[in-house]
Amino acid sequence: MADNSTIRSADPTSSLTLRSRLSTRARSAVTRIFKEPPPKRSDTPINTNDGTAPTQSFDSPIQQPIKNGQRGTGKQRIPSSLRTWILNFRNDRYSSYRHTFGKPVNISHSPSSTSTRRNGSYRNREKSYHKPSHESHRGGLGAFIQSGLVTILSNSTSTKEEKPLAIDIMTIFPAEIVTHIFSYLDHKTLLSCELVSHSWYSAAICSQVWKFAFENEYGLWNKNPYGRDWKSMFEVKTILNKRWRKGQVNPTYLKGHTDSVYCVQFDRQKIITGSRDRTIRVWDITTGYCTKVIGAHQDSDSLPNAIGYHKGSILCLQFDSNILVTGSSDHTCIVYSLPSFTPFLKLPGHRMGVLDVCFDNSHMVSCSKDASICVWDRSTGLLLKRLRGHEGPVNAVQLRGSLLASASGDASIKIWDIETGACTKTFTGHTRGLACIQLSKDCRTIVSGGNDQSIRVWDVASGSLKYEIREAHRSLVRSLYLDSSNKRIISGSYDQSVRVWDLESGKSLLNFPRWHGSWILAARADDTRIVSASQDSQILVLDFSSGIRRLESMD
Amino acid sequence: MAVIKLLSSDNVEIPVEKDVAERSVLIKNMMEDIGGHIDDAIPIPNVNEAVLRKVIEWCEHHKSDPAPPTDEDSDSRKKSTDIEEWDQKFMQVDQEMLFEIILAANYLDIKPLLDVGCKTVANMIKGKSPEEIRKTFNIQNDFTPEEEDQIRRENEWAEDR
Repeated sequence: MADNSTIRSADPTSSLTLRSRLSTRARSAVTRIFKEPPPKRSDTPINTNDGTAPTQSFDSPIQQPIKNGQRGTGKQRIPSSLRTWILNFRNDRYSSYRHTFGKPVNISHSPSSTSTRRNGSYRNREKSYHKPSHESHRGGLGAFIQSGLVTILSNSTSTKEEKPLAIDIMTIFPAEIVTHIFSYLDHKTLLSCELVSHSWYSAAICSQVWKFAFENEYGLWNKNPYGRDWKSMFEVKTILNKRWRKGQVNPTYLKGHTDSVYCVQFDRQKIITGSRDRTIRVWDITTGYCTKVIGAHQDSDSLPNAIGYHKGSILCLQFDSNILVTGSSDHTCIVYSLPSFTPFLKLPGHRMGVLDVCFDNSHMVSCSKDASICVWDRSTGLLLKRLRGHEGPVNAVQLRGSLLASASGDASIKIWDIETGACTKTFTGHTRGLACIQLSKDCRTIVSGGNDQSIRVWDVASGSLKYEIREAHRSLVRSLYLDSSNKRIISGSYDQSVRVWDLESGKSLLNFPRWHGSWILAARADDTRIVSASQDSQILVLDFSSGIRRLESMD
Repeated sequence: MAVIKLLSSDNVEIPVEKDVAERSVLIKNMMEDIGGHIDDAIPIPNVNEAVLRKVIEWCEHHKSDPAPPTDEDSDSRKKSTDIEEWDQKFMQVDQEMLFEIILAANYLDIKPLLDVGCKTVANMIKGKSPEEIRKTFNIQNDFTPEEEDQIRRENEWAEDR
């Protein structure tokens, strides 16, 4: 092989343009190589698999313009030192190529921006083959020229037989076209591409390319899409999904409350729980330590102001980055400002215990055992409306856009218009009282559960039942959480189990029976965890993400 | 029907209907800039006759297609590599011509043709092993076994287990 270095000239039958372009590029690169002394490097050539140096030669169109019928003449062997240097040169180029590629590649196709840009880049490319010594300001273009040589070299080492010319796309396409091509590839093929060669590797790990693979596989990403490491996100998401499929969790129990834990919510940093012991606890989600206790068991001189704390069980809570709202069996809600947890509003209005709360940017909503729902102004705490219609305790409310959904012990679900306060729909079908309700992000689906041990999934627009999971639990379905983006329903029951269901089919995905010692009163989930709270005064964190590297890429 | 002339890189004048030529956003913008009619041939310096004729053939066939959505959301950018039958046949050319068409579509800013071209190349890659891809595009493996191992280890997460 090494001695039999035949040089393949242009295929006489095919159109000459691309090849002659390559040749021109090769010439440019060679000119440049001879102009600049090879850098002193001791790197070994990277492709010495069989122990022999790869045989490479190149066309020299200066001496031998390619014409039909002419083959194999006017070729030179590259001196081996040059060959080594070229290989090093290729190594260098990958880093520059990667550098170019690492930048966000603008693959916008809006006609306003593209014509000039494309036009420009093409012209640059054109210019760069004619001005070989000109250091291209676009790293990719420099790479383009250099890689032209590489193609010629690898073409020339191939066999003599006439076969259709095969061309490495990395040598002829600018980065934006390569990205465009790769954006049609699935993740398995992209991983295959990484192993093809250095230049393919650089192109295939490009974050932009993985954005398409990610969104194709896992749906559109709602959070800020800029500056993300899409490949890492794909990896994290893939591992998480695998663990959710198999139920691979790392469980941790959080202990501190001295009585039933009624409610829980968490984000990436913290878990907040409310208990019958009249306190609210804040937990660090990574360490599991309780970082704050807010409530009556504290010394009386720690009372921050006249609003004070709840004088009964904390039955429900919701927080965002600015406020925490809690509802209590003492008939009131308290609004705290975050991150200080200073109470600043008290909402008196119910005549019985407040069973659930929710809020958006302008409203706060509470529901009570007194069968009414109160709508409050978020900033002033003024009571705006009182919604009546349920004939039993209102156990759960959820607010999405202008829709408010409520579930009651009277076994009915009601949909209200938050602006007008009118009840627009009533869904009946459950045979016994309802404990929990969830409205999907797109407001098209409602999930409800209660004393009849079933979970029902409703179509909001038509008011019809989509399906029912009968005997979802062996006791009251106390808590439901709908993870719209992952299409999962998480349920917690008095039968002491937490279960996970597929929203589309109603199929059971996971079951965690008796991980708590008593009734489950609340359960919530995100991509990484299920957190449940129980009458056994403990909080259980089921972590699907422990030990996953680059988890932060999802934040 | 107004006809304009395009001049290929190898100096061949090709007459083409104006609205066919205007599938190219580059030409369309150029025509708008010069205000309608032009007698001289428009030079297309990066595209030779054979390729230009091929591109025009595509534009002819697609001249009454609706304008592609300008919306840039990933939504509109369907990631399916399905290609309609006529385009599939059209793209049954050797690699060299295929790549020339893609470069020309990019230069002339004919997005739907660029899409079809890129999809065609993507389909040549899809589902293949690294070695099969190397064969398809005549690429030499320039990795050391250590480098390969390192990449494989890095990507172990994707294995079905």
